[in-house]
Amino acid sequence: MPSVGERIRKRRNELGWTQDLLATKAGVSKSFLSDLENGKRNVGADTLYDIARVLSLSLDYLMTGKEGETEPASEVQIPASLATFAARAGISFRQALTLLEMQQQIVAHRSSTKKEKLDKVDWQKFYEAVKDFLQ
Amino acid sequence: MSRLDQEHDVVALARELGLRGDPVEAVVRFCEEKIGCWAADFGAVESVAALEQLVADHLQLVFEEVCSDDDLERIVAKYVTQGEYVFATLRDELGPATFGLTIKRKHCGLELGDKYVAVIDCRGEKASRRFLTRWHEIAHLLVLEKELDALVRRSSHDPIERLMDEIAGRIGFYEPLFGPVFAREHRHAPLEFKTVEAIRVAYCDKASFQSTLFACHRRMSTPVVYVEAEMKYKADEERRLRSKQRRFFQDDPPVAKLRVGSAVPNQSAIDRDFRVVPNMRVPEGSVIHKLHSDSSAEQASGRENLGSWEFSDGSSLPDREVWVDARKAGDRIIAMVQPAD
Repeated sequence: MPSVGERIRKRRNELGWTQDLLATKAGVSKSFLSDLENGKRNVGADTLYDIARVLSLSLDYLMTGKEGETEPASEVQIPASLATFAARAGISFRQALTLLEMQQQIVAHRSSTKKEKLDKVDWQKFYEAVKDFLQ
Repeated sequence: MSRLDQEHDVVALARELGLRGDPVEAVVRFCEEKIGCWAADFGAVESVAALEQLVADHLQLVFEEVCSDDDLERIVAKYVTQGEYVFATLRDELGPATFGLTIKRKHCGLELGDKYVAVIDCRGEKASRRFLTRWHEIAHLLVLEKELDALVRRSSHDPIERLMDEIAGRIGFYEPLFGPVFAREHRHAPLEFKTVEAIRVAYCDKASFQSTLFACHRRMSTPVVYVEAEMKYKADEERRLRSKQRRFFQDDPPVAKLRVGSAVPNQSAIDRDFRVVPNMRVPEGSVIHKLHSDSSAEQASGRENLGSWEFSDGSSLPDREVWVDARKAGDRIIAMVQPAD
Protein backbone atom coordinates (compact mmCIF):
# COMPACT_ATOMS: atom_id res chain seq x y z
CA MET A 1 0.00 0.00 0.00
CA PRO A 2 1.41 3.43 -0.88
CA SER A 3 2.88 5.48 1.94
CA VAL A 4 2.04 9.06 2.91
CA GLY A 5 5.08 10.23 1.00
CA GLU A 6 4.10 8.32 -2.11
CA ARG A 7 0.61 9.81 -2.02
CA ILE A 8 2.10 13.29 -1.71
CA ARG A 9 4.42 12.67 -4.66
CA LYS A 10 1.61 11.22 -6.77
CA ARG A 11 -0.61 14.23 -6.18
CA ARG A 12 2.29 16.66 -6.68
CA ASN A 13 3.04 15.07 -10.03
CA GLU A 14 -0.62 15.21 -11.01
CA LEU A 15 -0.52 18.95 -10.39
CA GLY A 16 2.74 19.28 -12.30
CA TRP A 17 4.43 20.87 -9.30
CA THR A 18 8.10 20.67 -8.45
CA GLN A 19 9.21 19.83 -4.94
CA ASP A 20 10.34 23.45 -4.68
CA LEU A 21 6.89 24.74 -5.48
CA LEU A 22 5.05 22.42 -3.10
CA ALA A 23 7.58 23.08 -0.34
CA THR A 24 7.11 26.83 -0.74
CA LYS A 25 3.33 26.61 -0.76
CA ALA A 26 3.23 24.31 2.27
CA GLY A 27 5.87 26.25 4.19
CA VAL A 28 8.36 23.38 4.56
CA SER A 29 11.90 22.97 3.29
CA LYS A 30 12.56 21.16 0.04
CA SER A 31 14.87 18.70 1.78
CA PHE A 32 12.20 17.88 4.33
CA LEU A 33 9.67 17.32 1.56
CA SER A 34 12.11 15.16 -0.36
CA ASP A 35 12.77 13.01 2.70
CA LEU A 36 9.06 12.79 3.40
CA GLU A 37 8.27 11.65 -0.14
CA ASN A 38 11.01 9.04 0.12
CA GLY A 39 9.75 7.72 3.44
CA LYS A 40 12.81 8.89 5.36
CA ARG A 41 11.03 11.30 7.69
CA ASN A 42 7.95 11.33 9.87
CA VAL A 43 5.64 14.27 9.76
CA GLY A 44 3.52 16.02 12.39
CA ALA A 45 -0.20 16.50 11.99
CA ASP A 46 0.09 20.28 11.59
CA THR A 47 2.57 20.01 8.74
CA LEU A 48 0.63 17.22 7.10
CA TYR A 49 -2.48 19.35 7.32
CA ASP A 50 -0.67 22.20 5.55
CA ILE A 51 0.48 19.86 2.79
CA ALA A 52 -2.99 18.33 2.42
CA ARG A 53 -4.54 21.78 2.18
CA VAL A 54 -2.29 23.02 -0.61
CA LEU A 55 -2.68 19.72 -2.48
CA SER A 56 -6.48 19.93 -2.12
CA LEU A 57 -6.55 16.52 -0.44
CA SER A 58 -8.24 15.47 2.77
CA LEU A 59 -6.05 14.74 5.77
CA ASP A 60 -7.67 11.32 6.06
CA TYR A 61 -6.74 10.43 2.51
CA LEU A 62 -3.15 11.51 2.95
CA MET A 63 -2.79 9.50 6.15
CA THR A 64 -4.66 6.34 5.16
CA GLY A 65 -5.18 6.46 1.40
CA LYS A 66 -8.66 5.15 2.01
CA GLU A 67 -10.83 8.11 1.25
CA GLY A 68 -11.62 9.81 -2.01
CA GLU A 69 -8.85 12.04 -3.21
CA THR A 70 -10.78 15.20 -2.68
CA GLU A 71 -12.75 16.66 0.14
CA PRO A 72 -16.10 14.98 0.64
CA ALA A 73 -18.64 16.30 -1.79
CA SER A 74 -20.96 18.88 -0.39
CA GLU A 75 -24.69 18.31 -0.36
CA VAL A 76 -26.15 18.37 -3.84
CA GLN A 77 -28.20 21.46 -4.47
CA ILE A 78 -30.73 21.36 -7.26
CA PRO A 79 -30.94 24.78 -8.94
CA ALA A 80 -34.37 26.34 -8.63
CA SER A 81 -34.73 26.46 -12.41
CA LEU A 82 -34.12 22.69 -12.64
CA ALA A 83 -36.51 21.94 -9.80
CA THR A 84 -39.19 24.02 -11.52
CA PHE A 85 -38.58 22.32 -14.84
CA ALA A 86 -38.57 18.85 -13.25
CA ALA A 87 -41.91 19.49 -11.58
CA ARG A 88 -43.45 20.84 -14.77
CA ALA A 89 -42.08 18.06 -16.99
CA GLY A 90 -42.88 15.32 -14.49
CA ILE A 91 -39.39 13.88 -14.41
CA SER A 92 -38.17 12.00 -11.38
CA PHE A 93 -35.73 13.30 -8.78
CA ARG A 94 -33.21 10.76 -10.01
CA GLN A 95 -33.55 12.01 -13.59
CA ALA A 96 -33.20 15.60 -12.41
CA LEU A 97 -30.02 14.65 -10.59
CA THR A 98 -28.72 12.97 -13.73
CA LEU A 99 -29.44 16.11 -15.74
CA LEU A 100 -27.58 18.19 -13.18
CA GLU A 101 -24.61 15.83 -13.23
CA MET A 102 -24.48 16.00 -17.02
CA GLN A 103 -24.65 19.77 -16.97
CA GLN A 104 -21.81 19.84 -14.45
CA GLN A 105 -19.68 17.75 -16.76
CA ILE A 106 -19.42 20.90 -18.89
CA VAL A 107 -16.58 22.44 -16.95
CA ALA A 108 -15.79 25.40 -19.18
CA HIS A 109 -17.69 27.29 -21.79
CA ARG A 110 -16.34 30.12 -23.95
CA SER A 111 -19.03 32.39 -25.28
CA SER A 112 -19.37 35.96 -26.44
CA THR A 113 -22.80 36.57 -25.00
CA LYS A 114 -23.68 37.56 -21.49
CA LYS A 115 -25.78 34.85 -19.93
CA GLU A 116 -26.04 31.68 -18.14
CA LYS A 117 -25.34 31.06 -14.57
CA LEU A 118 -26.30 27.51 -13.74
CA ASP A 119 -29.73 28.67 -12.69
CA LYS A 120 -30.34 30.12 -16.17
CA VAL A 121 -29.72 26.93 -18.11
CA ASP A 122 -32.47 26.07 -20.56
CA TRP A 123 -33.30 22.76 -18.90
CA GLN A 124 -36.06 22.00 -21.37
CA LYS A 125 -33.60 22.13 -24.25
CA PHE A 126 -30.97 20.24 -22.27
CA TYR A 127 -33.50 17.55 -21.36
CA GLU A 128 -34.71 17.20 -24.94
CA ALA A 129 -31.12 16.54 -26.08
CA VAL A 130 -30.47 13.73 -23.61
CA LYS A 131 -33.89 12.34 -22.68
CA ASP A 132 -33.38 9.16 -24.67
CA PHE A 133 -30.47 8.30 -22.40
CA LEU A 134 -32.08 9.05 -19.04
CA GLN A 135 -33.00 6.04 -16.94
CA MET B 1 -15.11 47.47 -18.52
CA SER B 2 -13.86 47.16 -14.96
CA ARG B 3 -10.29 46.54 -13.98
CA LEU B 4 -9.70 42.84 -13.97
CA ASP B 5 -7.29 42.91 -11.03
CA GLN B 6 -10.02 44.40 -8.83
CA GLU B 7 -12.72 41.90 -9.69
CA HIS B 8 -13.85 39.88 -6.70
CA ASP B 9 -13.84 36.54 -8.53
CA VAL B 10 -10.30 37.10 -9.78
CA VAL B 11 -9.02 38.15 -6.36
CA ALA B 12 -10.76 35.15 -4.78
CA LEU B 13 -9.27 32.74 -7.32
CA ALA B 14 -5.76 34.07 -6.69
CA ARG B 15 -6.28 33.79 -2.96
CA GLU B 16 -7.60 30.23 -3.24
CA LEU B 17 -4.55 29.30 -5.25
CA GLY B 18 -2.44 30.66 -2.40
CA LEU B 19 -1.05 33.49 -4.53
CA ARG B 20 -0.05 36.97 -3.45
CA GLY B 21 0.41 40.29 -5.22
CA ASP B 22 -1.43 41.51 -8.30
CA PRO B 23 -4.01 38.72 -8.76
CA VAL B 24 -3.99 38.75 -12.56
CA GLU B 25 -0.22 38.62 -12.81
CA ALA B 26 -0.06 36.04 -10.01
CA VAL B 27 -2.54 33.67 -11.68
CA VAL B 28 -0.87 34.09 -15.07
CA ARG B 29 2.52 33.35 -13.50
CA PHE B 30 1.03 30.36 -11.69
CA CYS B 31 -0.01 28.93 -15.06
CA GLU B 32 3.27 29.85 -16.74
CA GLU B 33 5.24 28.18 -13.94
CA LYS B 34 3.16 25.04 -14.20
CA ILE B 35 3.80 24.84 -17.92
CA GLY B 36 7.44 25.76 -17.39
CA CYS B 37 7.88 22.80 -15.03
CA TRP B 38 6.34 20.40 -17.51
CA ALA B 39 8.44 21.79 -20.35
CA ALA B 40 11.62 21.56 -18.27
CA ASP B 41 10.88 17.94 -17.37
CA PHE B 42 10.17 17.12 -21.00
CA GLY B 43 13.30 18.70 -22.42
CA ALA B 44 13.35 20.71 -25.61
CA VAL B 45 9.91 21.83 -26.74
CA GLU B 46 10.40 23.15 -30.23
CA SER B 47 7.02 24.47 -31.31
CA VAL B 48 3.83 25.80 -29.84
CA ALA B 49 2.02 22.77 -31.24
CA ALA B 50 4.37 20.49 -29.30
CA LEU B 51 3.90 22.63 -26.19
CA GLU B 52 0.13 22.42 -26.50
CA GLN B 53 0.32 18.64 -26.81
CA LEU B 54 2.59 18.40 -23.77
CA VAL B 55 0.26 20.55 -21.68
CA ALA B 56 -2.82 18.69 -22.90
CA ASP B 57 -1.20 15.37 -21.98
CA HIS B 58 -0.54 16.60 -18.45
CA LEU B 59 -4.07 17.83 -18.11
CA GLN B 60 -5.48 14.61 -19.61
CA LEU B 61 -7.14 16.76 -22.22
CA VAL B 62 -7.96 15.93 -25.81
CA PHE B 63 -9.28 18.33 -28.41
CA GLU B 64 -12.08 17.77 -30.88
CA GLU B 65 -12.54 20.37 -33.60
CA VAL B 66 -15.86 20.99 -35.28
CA CYS B 67 -15.21 22.27 -38.80
CA SER B 68 -18.60 21.27 -40.22
CA ASP B 69 -21.99 20.05 -39.12
CA ASP B 70 -20.90 16.56 -40.15
CA ASP B 71 -17.96 16.85 -37.77
CA LEU B 72 -20.33 17.73 -35.00
CA GLU B 73 -22.50 14.67 -35.65
CA ARG B 74 -19.42 12.46 -35.77
CA ILE B 75 -18.19 13.76 -32.42
CA VAL B 76 -21.61 13.43 -30.79
CA ALA B 77 -21.92 9.84 -32.02
CA LYS B 78 -18.37 8.95 -30.98
CA TYR B 79 -18.84 9.95 -27.36
CA VAL B 80 -22.50 9.05 -26.91
CA THR B 81 -21.71 5.49 -27.93
CA GLN B 82 -19.11 5.50 -25.15
CA GLY B 83 -21.79 6.43 -22.62
CA GLU B 84 -20.97 10.15 -22.52
CA TYR B 85 -24.51 11.29 -23.08
CA VAL B 86 -23.85 14.95 -22.33
CA PHE B 87 -22.26 15.17 -25.77
CA ALA B 88 -25.76 14.90 -27.21
CA THR B 89 -26.28 18.49 -26.02
CA LEU B 90 -23.46 19.78 -28.20
CA ARG B 91 -25.84 20.62 -31.04
CA ASP B 92 -27.48 23.17 -28.74
CA GLU B 93 -24.47 24.13 -26.67
CA LEU B 94 -22.41 25.16 -29.69
CA GLY B 95 -24.71 28.00 -30.62
CA PRO B 96 -23.68 31.02 -32.69
CA ALA B 97 -21.99 32.78 -29.78
CA THR B 98 -20.11 29.81 -28.30
CA PHE B 99 -16.55 29.16 -29.42
CA GLY B 100 -15.77 26.10 -27.37
CA LEU B 101 -16.45 24.13 -24.25
CA THR B 102 -14.77 21.49 -22.16
CA ILE B 103 -16.49 18.37 -20.90
CA LYS B 104 -15.28 16.15 -18.10
CA ARG B 105 -15.84 12.55 -19.07
CA LYS B 106 -17.60 10.13 -16.77
CA HIS B 107 -16.18 7.03 -18.34
CA CYS B 108 -12.48 7.23 -19.00
CA GLY B 109 -9.43 5.35 -17.92
CA LEU B 110 -6.71 7.41 -16.30
CA GLU B 111 -4.20 5.73 -18.59
CA LEU B 112 -6.08 6.92 -21.67
CA GLY B 113 -5.42 10.56 -20.94
CA ASP B 114 -8.81 11.80 -22.07
CA LYS B 115 -10.44 12.80 -18.83
CA TYR B 116 -11.38 16.11 -20.43
CA VAL B 117 -12.56 16.76 -23.97
CA ALA B 118 -12.39 20.32 -25.30
CA VAL B 119 -14.72 20.78 -28.24
CA ILE B 120 -13.64 23.73 -30.36
CA ASP B 121 -16.14 25.17 -32.82
CA CYS B 122 -14.24 26.13 -35.96
CA ARG B 123 -17.24 26.60 -38.22
CA GLY B 124 -17.44 29.82 -40.20
CA GLU B 125 -15.96 32.93 -38.64
CA LYS B 126 -15.29 31.08 -35.39
CA ALA B 127 -12.30 29.45 -37.07
CA SER B 128 -10.29 32.63 -36.55
CA ARG B 129 -10.60 32.15 -32.79
CA ARG B 130 -9.51 28.53 -32.87
CA PHE B 131 -5.98 29.04 -31.54
CA LEU B 132 -6.93 31.19 -28.59
CA THR B 133 -10.02 29.13 -27.76
CA ARG B 134 -7.86 26.03 -27.40
CA TRP B 135 -5.54 27.85 -25.00
CA HIS B 136 -8.53 29.37 -23.23
CA GLU B 137 -9.85 25.89 -22.45
CA ILE B 138 -6.38 24.88 -21.28
CA ALA B 139 -6.30 27.92 -18.99
CA HIS B 140 -9.48 26.75 -17.29
CA LEU B 141 -7.97 23.36 -16.57
CA LEU B 142 -4.71 24.85 -15.29
CA VAL B 143 -6.57 26.56 -12.47
CA LEU B 144 -9.24 23.94 -12.30
CA GLU B 145 -8.95 22.50 -8.83
CA LYS B 146 -10.07 25.69 -7.20
CA GLU B 147 -12.04 27.15 -9.99
CA LEU B 148 -14.40 24.29 -10.68
CA ASP B 149 -16.51 24.95 -7.65
CA ALA B 150 -17.79 28.08 -9.27
CA LEU B 151 -18.58 26.40 -12.54
CA VAL B 152 -18.43 27.85 -15.32
CA ARG B 153 -20.93 28.85 -17.91
CA ARG B 154 -19.67 32.27 -18.45
CA SER B 155 -19.51 34.90 -21.11
CA SER B 156 -16.60 36.95 -22.32
CA HIS B 157 -17.86 39.74 -20.03
CA ASP B 158 -17.28 37.61 -16.97
CA PRO B 159 -14.10 38.46 -15.02
CA ILE B 160 -12.94 34.87 -14.86
CA GLU B 161 -13.45 34.46 -18.61
CA ARG B 162 -11.47 37.65 -19.20
CA LEU B 163 -8.76 36.26 -16.94
CA MET B 164 -8.76 33.00 -18.91
CA ASP B 165 -8.38 35.00 -22.12
CA GLU B 166 -5.48 36.86 -20.55
CA ILE B 167 -3.86 33.57 -19.53
CA ALA B 168 -4.52 32.07 -22.96
CA GLY B 169 -2.90 35.06 -24.64
CA ARG B 170 0.19 34.64 -22.48
CA ILE B 171 0.69 30.88 -22.44
CA GLY B 172 -0.37 30.49 -26.07
CA PHE B 173 2.54 32.80 -26.88
CA TYR B 174 4.87 31.02 -24.49
CA GLU B 175 7.88 33.26 -24.03
CA PRO B 176 10.66 30.67 -24.50
CA LEU B 177 9.16 29.86 -27.92
CA PHE B 178 7.69 33.20 -28.92
CA GLY B 179 10.57 35.40 -27.73
CA PRO B 180 13.15 34.12 -30.24
CA VAL B 181 10.67 34.35 -33.13
CA PHE B 182 9.76 37.89 -32.14
CA ALA B 183 13.42 38.90 -31.84
CA ARG B 184 14.25 37.39 -35.23
CA GLU B 185 11.39 39.00 -37.12
CA HIS B 186 11.21 42.36 -35.36
CA ARG B 187 14.54 44.10 -35.23
CA HIS B 188 13.61 47.70 -34.52
CA ALA B 189 10.67 49.95 -33.67
CA PRO B 190 8.11 50.78 -34.84
CA LEU B 191 6.15 47.57 -34.92
CA GLU B 192 4.28 47.24 -38.21
CA PHE B 193 1.35 45.06 -39.21
CA LYS B 194 3.41 43.32 -41.87
CA THR B 195 5.92 42.37 -39.17
CA VAL B 196 3.12 41.02 -36.99
CA GLU B 197 1.96 38.88 -39.90
CA ALA B 198 5.51 37.59 -40.47
CA ILE B 199 5.76 36.73 -36.78
CA ARG B 200 2.39 34.96 -36.89
CA VAL B 201 3.44 32.79 -39.81
CA ALA B 202 6.81 32.00 -38.26
CA TYR B 203 5.41 31.25 -34.80
CA CYS B 204 2.17 29.46 -35.56
CA ASP B 205 0.17 29.94 -38.71
CA LYS B 206 -2.93 28.72 -36.88
CA ALA B 207 -2.77 31.66 -34.49
CA SER B 208 -5.01 34.56 -35.43
CA PHE B 209 -3.58 37.87 -36.55
CA GLN B 210 -5.33 39.59 -33.66
CA SER B 211 -3.94 37.31 -30.96
CA THR B 212 -0.45 37.59 -32.46
CA LEU B 213 -0.80 41.36 -32.60
CA PHE B 214 -1.59 41.50 -28.89
CA ALA B 215 1.30 39.18 -28.09
CA CYS B 216 3.67 41.50 -29.99
CA HIS B 217 2.09 44.57 -28.43
CA ARG B 218 2.60 43.10 -24.97
CA ARG B 219 6.19 42.21 -25.69
CA MET B 220 7.28 45.55 -27.15
CA SER B 221 9.68 47.43 -24.91
CA THR B 222 8.77 50.74 -26.55
CA PRO B 223 5.36 52.43 -26.32
CA VAL B 224 2.57 51.10 -28.51
CA VAL B 225 -1.10 51.99 -28.31
CA TYR B 226 -3.44 49.67 -30.16
CA VAL B 227 -6.42 51.67 -31.43
CA GLU B 228 -9.73 50.63 -32.89
CA ALA B 229 -11.66 53.48 -34.56
CA GLU B 230 -15.28 53.32 -35.60
CA MET B 231 -18.23 55.58 -36.33
CA LYS B 232 -19.63 56.55 -32.94
CA TYR B 233 -21.52 59.23 -31.10
CA LYS B 234 -20.13 61.25 -28.23
CA ALA B 235 -20.69 59.48 -24.93
CA ASP B 236 -23.43 61.85 -23.79
CA GLU B 237 -25.10 61.70 -27.22
CA GLU B 238 -25.06 57.92 -26.95
CA ARG B 239 -26.60 58.06 -23.47
CA ARG B 240 -29.34 60.42 -24.56
CA LEU B 241 -30.11 58.39 -27.65
CA ARG B 242 -30.69 55.41 -25.40
CA SER B 243 -32.76 57.35 -22.92
CA LYS B 244 -36.18 58.93 -22.94
CA GLN B 245 -34.50 62.26 -23.74
CA ARG B 246 -34.20 61.11 -27.32
CA ARG B 247 -36.95 63.53 -28.26
CA PHE B 248 -34.58 66.45 -27.56
CA PHE B 249 -32.65 65.48 -30.68
CA GLN B 250 -35.59 65.67 -33.02
CA ASP B 251 -34.61 69.05 -34.42
CA ASP B 252 -30.88 68.56 -34.37
CA PRO B 253 -30.00 64.87 -34.37
CA PRO B 254 -26.42 63.96 -33.49
CA VAL B 255 -24.10 62.76 -36.21
CA ALA B 256 -21.82 59.78 -35.68
CA LYS B 257 -18.17 60.60 -36.27
CA LEU B 258 -15.02 58.53 -36.50
CA ARG B 259 -13.97 58.05 -32.89
CA VAL B 260 -11.64 55.90 -30.87
CA GLY B 261 -13.62 52.81 -29.90
CA SER B 262 -10.88 51.30 -27.80
CA ALA B 263 -7.30 52.21 -27.06
CA VAL B 264 -5.02 49.65 -25.41
CA PRO B 265 -1.58 50.84 -24.29
CA ASN B 266 1.20 48.35 -23.64
CA GLN B 267 3.15 48.54 -20.39
CA SER B 268 5.80 50.81 -21.85
CA ALA B 269 3.12 53.26 -23.04
CA ILE B 270 1.52 53.24 -19.58
CA ASP B 271 4.89 53.87 -17.94
CA ARG B 272 5.55 56.86 -20.22
CA ASP B 273 1.98 58.22 -20.16
CA PHE B 274 1.81 57.77 -23.93
CA ARG B 275 -1.88 57.51 -24.63
CA VAL B 276 -4.86 57.87 -26.89
CA VAL B 277 -8.19 58.33 -25.16
CA PRO B 278 -11.26 56.20 -25.91
CA ASN B 279 -14.16 57.97 -27.57
CA MET B 280 -12.17 61.02 -28.68
CA ARG B 281 -12.63 62.10 -32.29
CA VAL B 282 -10.10 61.00 -34.84
CA PRO B 283 -8.98 64.20 -36.63
CA GLU B 284 -9.55 64.41 -40.36
CA GLY B 285 -5.84 64.84 -40.98
CA SER B 286 -5.00 61.58 -39.24
CA VAL B 287 -3.75 58.57 -41.17
CA ILE B 288 -6.63 56.66 -39.60
CA HIS B 289 -9.28 59.09 -40.81
CA LYS B 290 -7.82 59.29 -44.32
CA LEU B 291 -7.85 55.50 -44.58
CA HIS B 292 -11.44 55.39 -43.37
CA SER B 293 -12.44 57.91 -46.05
CA ASP B 294 -10.60 56.14 -48.87
CA SER B 295 -12.81 53.32 -50.11
CA SER B 296 -10.08 51.98 -52.38
CA ALA B 297 -7.39 51.55 -49.73
CA GLU B 298 -7.06 48.71 -47.24
CA GLN B 299 -4.13 50.02 -45.25
CA ALA B 300 -2.09 53.14 -44.72
CA SER B 301 0.77 54.37 -42.58
CA GLY B 302 2.60 57.60 -41.90
CA ARG B 303 3.69 60.23 -39.42
CA GLU B 304 1.42 62.71 -37.71
CA ASN B 305 1.25 64.80 -34.57
CA LEU B 306 -0.91 63.72 -31.64
CA GLY B 307 -1.41 67.40 -30.82
CA SER B 308 -4.03 67.51 -33.57
CA TRP B 309 -6.18 64.98 -31.68
CA GLU B 310 -8.61 67.24 -29.82
CA PHE B 311 -11.14 66.63 -27.08
CA SER B 312 -14.61 68.15 -27.26
CA ASP B 313 -13.60 70.76 -24.66
CA GLY B 314 -10.93 72.09 -27.04
CA SER B 315 -7.92 70.58 -25.27
CA SER B 316 -5.74 68.09 -27.08
CA LEU B 317 -3.32 65.25 -26.60
CA PRO B 318 0.31 66.28 -25.96
CA ASP B 319 2.25 67.59 -28.94
CA ARG B 320 4.15 64.52 -30.11
CA GLU B 321 5.22 63.09 -33.46
CA VAL B 322 3.91 59.55 -33.89
CA TRP B 323 4.02 56.78 -36.44
CA VAL B 324 0.63 55.30 -37.29
CA ASP B 325 0.13 52.00 -39.06
CA ALA B 326 -3.54 51.38 -39.88
CA ARG B 327 -5.64 48.84 -41.71
CA LYS B 328 -9.32 48.17 -42.26
CA ALA B 329 -11.07 45.44 -40.33
CA GLY B 330 -14.71 45.34 -41.37
CA ASP B 331 -16.36 48.61 -40.37
CA ARG B 332 -13.49 49.53 -38.10
CA ILE B 333 -9.98 50.79 -38.56
CA ILE B 334 -7.35 49.10 -36.42
CA ALA B 335 -4.11 50.93 -35.86
CA MET B 336 -0.89 50.95 -33.92
CA VAL B 337 0.26 54.35 -32.70
CA GLN B 338 3.90 54.63 -31.65
CA PRO B 339 6.38 57.44 -31.02
CA ALA B 340 8.04 58.43 -34.30
CA ASP B 341 11.46 59.03 -32.81
